[in-house]
Amino acid sequence: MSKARTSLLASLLFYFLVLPAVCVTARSQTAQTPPPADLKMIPRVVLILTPEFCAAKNTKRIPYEDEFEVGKAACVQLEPALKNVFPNLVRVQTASSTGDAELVLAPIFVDISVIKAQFAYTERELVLLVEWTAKDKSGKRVWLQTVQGLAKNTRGTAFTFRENRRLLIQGAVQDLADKSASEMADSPVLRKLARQAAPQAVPTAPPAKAPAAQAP
Amino acid sequence: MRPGPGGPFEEGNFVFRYSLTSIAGILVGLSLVQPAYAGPKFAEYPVRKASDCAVKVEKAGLVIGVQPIEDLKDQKIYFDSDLTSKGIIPVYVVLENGSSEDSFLFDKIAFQYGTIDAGIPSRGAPSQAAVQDTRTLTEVQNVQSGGEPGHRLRPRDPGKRPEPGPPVRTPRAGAPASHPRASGTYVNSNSVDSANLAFALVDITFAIVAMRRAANAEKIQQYMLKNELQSNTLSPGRSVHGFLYIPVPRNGLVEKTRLLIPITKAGTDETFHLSLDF
Repeated sequence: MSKARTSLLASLLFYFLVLPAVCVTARSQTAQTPPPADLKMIPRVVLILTPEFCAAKNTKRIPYEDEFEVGKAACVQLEPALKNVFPNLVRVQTASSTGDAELVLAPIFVDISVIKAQFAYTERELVLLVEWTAKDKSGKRVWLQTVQGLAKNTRGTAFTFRENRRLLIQGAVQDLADKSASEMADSPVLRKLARQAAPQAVPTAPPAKAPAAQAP
Repeated sequence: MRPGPGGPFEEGNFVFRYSLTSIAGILVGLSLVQPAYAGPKFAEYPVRKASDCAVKVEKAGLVIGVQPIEDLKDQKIYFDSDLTSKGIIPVYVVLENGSSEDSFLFDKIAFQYGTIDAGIPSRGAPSQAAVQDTRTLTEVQNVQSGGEPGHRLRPRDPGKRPEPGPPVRTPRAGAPASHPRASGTYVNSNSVDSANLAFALVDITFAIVAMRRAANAEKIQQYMLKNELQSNTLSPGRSVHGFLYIPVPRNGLVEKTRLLIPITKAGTDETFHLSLDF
């Protein structure tokens, strides 16, 4: 009897503790897929985060609530996420200070939408739409992509609504940053541009050397 | 031992009956609220190929298909709303890049629409007639949430509750006429309280329904936003799809519409426009 109870408890423990941990680990591993090496070869990539972009808020004011300062969070979280794809990323504030960059990335907010929560435990969703424009050295548009950042959270009580709002903004911006990095890493146009920007670094030798370098 | 007339249990009987009336009223109110309380439900629109759409056009290996959702039943299924009466028609658009080398840019800001009769130029800005009915989704949402602007619920002194007053009961036969509780005043008071209660319940019901409708309208608007076709790069072999929301007259008389979709070849200044009539 006690043996059966122990096995039951053990299986419950397995389902409630071990399985979620495995799922979380698997999810984090899929999220941290290494970006293609050719994008890292671009000598100079400029990210334009204008003061207007960093000051972006939801245009439709929600009664009894502060504004959702998503631009402020985006200007903190976007750069580290994109540095995983472009290690030579430099952040500037104006389009005039891009210099001789091989690739210029400029985001703009297309829409910031959040549903008004009626009750403390009503779940609401924050939707961010950012349009990315990538230009080459000659100033021509080579890539255009709109990315959605989504996050859900409850409004919270009088004691928790500020923290819940902060988490909602942070979650949506992080989702936006991850998706943006993923879209850039997967873009054939940007990879082609990267190969053109660093022609001397494209020889076919590296793939043969890679396994040897990993061996102990 | 049975309580005599006018005893303490008589008060309890009144409270019981009053509570029953309240409970019955609340149940009736909730039964009215429930359908409105249910949130919007959206069926996912089936992904179509450009070749399966009602209208399609091809140029330089790029194929664009357009499928307007004019049927009100379809609008109800996929948007949980009658969008035509709100002054817009959702148009499903799919862009497929069949080219093996070139990438194309679709810039949503540059796309144009208008009625064919208004004479949209094949290039350049749309005519004045074509743009005069342009309304944003926010304006559409305002209409969805509460009907016509300025419409308000009937004021009913929301802060004022019906006073409890004295216990209410019907006069009994044989009660002395001089007894104050035997007079008809109590009957009138009862009906007044019931009426107040009924009005309060109706007001609460309307308030909840209005709140819910506003919340549903916001959800519909956000759903539309998430499914809207946005600016994109079409790499070789890639396709994108989504909805464009075209303003139309609210009288339901939808004229023939023309979409002008500008496409730019990535890394060049070569732009061409694809025209689709539906």
